[in-house]
Amino acid sequence: MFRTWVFTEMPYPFTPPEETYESVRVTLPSRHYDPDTGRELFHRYYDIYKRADELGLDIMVNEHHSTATCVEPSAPISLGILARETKTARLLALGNPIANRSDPVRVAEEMAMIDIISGGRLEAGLVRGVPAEISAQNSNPVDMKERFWEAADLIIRAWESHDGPFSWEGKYFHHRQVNIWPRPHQQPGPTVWIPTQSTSTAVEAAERGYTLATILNGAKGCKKIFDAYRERSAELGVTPGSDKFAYLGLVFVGETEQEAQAGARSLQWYLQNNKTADQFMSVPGYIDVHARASMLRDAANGRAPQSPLAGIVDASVDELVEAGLFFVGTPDQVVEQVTRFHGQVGGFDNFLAMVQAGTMTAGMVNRSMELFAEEVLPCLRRDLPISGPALSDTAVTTPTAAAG
Amino acid sequence: MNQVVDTTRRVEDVSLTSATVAVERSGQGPPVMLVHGEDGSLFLNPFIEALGTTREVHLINLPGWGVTPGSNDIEGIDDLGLVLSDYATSQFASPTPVIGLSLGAWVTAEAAVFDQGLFSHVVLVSPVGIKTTARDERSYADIWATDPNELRRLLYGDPSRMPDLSALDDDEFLRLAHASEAVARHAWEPYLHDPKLARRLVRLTAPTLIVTGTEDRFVLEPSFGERWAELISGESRHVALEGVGHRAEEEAPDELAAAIHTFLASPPS
Repeated sequence: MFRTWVFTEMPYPFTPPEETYESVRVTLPSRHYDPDTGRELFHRYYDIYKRADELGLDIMVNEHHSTATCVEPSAPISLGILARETKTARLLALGNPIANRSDPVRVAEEMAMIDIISGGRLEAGLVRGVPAEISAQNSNPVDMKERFWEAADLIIRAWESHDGPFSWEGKYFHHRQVNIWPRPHQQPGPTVWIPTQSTSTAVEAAERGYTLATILNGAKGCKKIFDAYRERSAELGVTPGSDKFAYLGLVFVGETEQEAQAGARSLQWYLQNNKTADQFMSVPGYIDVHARASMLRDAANGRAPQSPLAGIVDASVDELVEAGLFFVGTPDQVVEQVTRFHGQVGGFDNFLAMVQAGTMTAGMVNRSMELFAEEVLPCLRRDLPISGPALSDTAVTTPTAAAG
Repeated sequence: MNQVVDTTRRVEDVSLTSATVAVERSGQGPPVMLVHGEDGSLFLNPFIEALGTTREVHLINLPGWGVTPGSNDIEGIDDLGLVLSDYATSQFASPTPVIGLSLGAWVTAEAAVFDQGLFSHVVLVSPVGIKTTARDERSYADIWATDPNELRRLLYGDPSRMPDLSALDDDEFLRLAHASEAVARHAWEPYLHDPKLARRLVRLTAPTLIVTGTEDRFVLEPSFGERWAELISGESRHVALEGVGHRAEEEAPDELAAAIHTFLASPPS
C-alpha cells in the first residue's frame, strides 16, 4: 500500500543572523536556545504528529545533534512518546545513527521497547549520519561504514535471538551476554530501513533486503539509487516489491495555488538555514579520498566547496517542484506531481513528506496534511501501481511461546 | 647497511614483517631515519636537503599517507611504531639515529619505549602524543573542528612561510587527502595522544633532543618541550627555535638541520 510518512526535523528556528556565527551545526552556542520556547516547539511538533495519526498518515522522525536545524537528539524518545500518543500510524525512525552510538545493544533494546508499546508499529531505520554529526559523538569517520554494518548485524541478531544470551566480540563491539528484554513485538523484528545518497550503500541494502530511502535527490538522482538496488537484487535473483523504496520531498497542499505557494515559501527555510562550516562537512574518511582531494584543491584555489544543497538554496518554488524536491500545490496538482515522479523513478510505496520547516505552525501544517490525507492520498492509493508484497497493514503477530 | 655515497634521491619499497614501506634515501654520510608528520613527506624537501649535507637520510613514508598504501593491519600509532622498529632492526646492524616530526615524533617515541636499544639518538621535533593537561583542557588544537585557514595560522609561526597549496598538482592533493585520512584513522580518539605514553617515556633512554618552536600555537600543552625532556629518562636536551611555529622543519629547515647535526655529532656526556 502506498504510504505517506509525515516528517518534521523539529527545528529551533529562532537563531541569530547567519553572519554572526560560523556554523549552525556543531558550534552554535546553546545560549541561543530558549528552554520555554523549546518546550512549546516540542509540543507543536508532537501535536502535528498526533494529527497525522488521526488522519491516517504515517510518521517519520529523525535525530541530529548539536544543531538548531533539528533539535531532536534522540529519535527513540520521540518514538516513545508517539508510541502512546498515536493509535494506528506506523512509526519510522530514520533513523538511529548506529555508527555514532557506542552501544548497538542499547539501540536494539530501545527499538524493541517502542515496538512493544506501539503494538508492532515500529519501522527501524539505521543511518550512517551526516559528516557534521561525528563531532557530537566523537566517532571516527574513517571506519564508519564498517562500524555501521557491524552495529546493524549486532542489533538484528539481538532482536532475533530469543534463546538466551549470545556473545559478540567483533572489531568494534564487545558483549559477552546479549539477551535483550523486551524482544520486539514484530517477528523476527521491525523492518529495517537504510537511507542513503550513494549507490554503494544502495547495493549493500539490496544484499540484505532492507528498505531503501533516499532524500531530496530529484528524479534523476533518486532513480540512480533505486536502480542500483534493483540491479543488485536482480543479480541475486530477487525482485524487490515497491514497498522496498522510499523517497523524501518537501510537501505543502493548499486549497488554492496561492495558499500552497505561501506554504512552500515557509518550507524553503529548510534549504536556506543550514550554514555549516567547511571543516564539519569536508571530513577525512567520511568523504571518499579522491573527492576530498578535489575539495582540498578547490579550497586551495579559492573555490568555495559545494554544499549538498548548493544550487537549490536560491531556487524558486517552481524550480524546486520541477526538480522533484518540492511537491506543492492544490490537491490535484500534488497528485499529478507525485504521480509523475513515481513514474520517473520506477515506483515506490513510501513517500516521506517533510511537511514542516522553520516557524510553520501546527495550524498551517495540519491544514496541509488534512488536504493531503483527504484529497491526495486516496487518489495515489487508487491509481499508483504497486508491486510485490506491500508493508503489512497490521504488522502485528501474535506472540507464542514458540515464536522466533 | 653500506653507506651510500651518491646524493641522488631514490624511493624504494622495503618489505618488512609489519608492512612494505616506500623509503626515500638521499644525502651523504652516516644514516639517519626520518619519520614525517601529519602532512606526510609533501613539504620536506628543503629540510631533507639540509640534512643530506652530512647524513644519508632514510625518509620512511608511513603506510596510509599515500606514498605507501594503507593496510588493514595498520590500526594505530603502535602499529606504525612497529613499522619503524622493523625498519631500524632490519636495515642497520647497530643503533641508528632517528628524527620524528610531530606525529612522526609520537611514532618514534612509541617505538623507542618498547625497544630501548633501537636508536642511538632520538630527535623529536614539535612532538605530539602525550597529554598532561586536565581532562577539560585541550592539549592540541582540534584539527577537524578548526577552519582550515585558521589551522594553518596555528601551525606556522610566520604565515609567509606556509606552503602555497595552490601550486600542488592533482597527485599531491591526493597525497594530502590520504594524509589527513591517516591522521584521522590513528589520532581521532584519544585525540593526538596515547594516554600511556607519558608514563612510558621513562623507558626512552637514548640521548634525546627535543625541538620546539617558540610560536607553536597548535600545541596547547604549556612548556611542552620542557615537559617531554622531564619525562624522558635518557639524557635529553631541549632547543626552542625563535619565531618558529609547529612546522619547524618547514619554517626553519637549515636551522633545524644544524641543531640536529650538532646534537648527533656531540659525544655523550
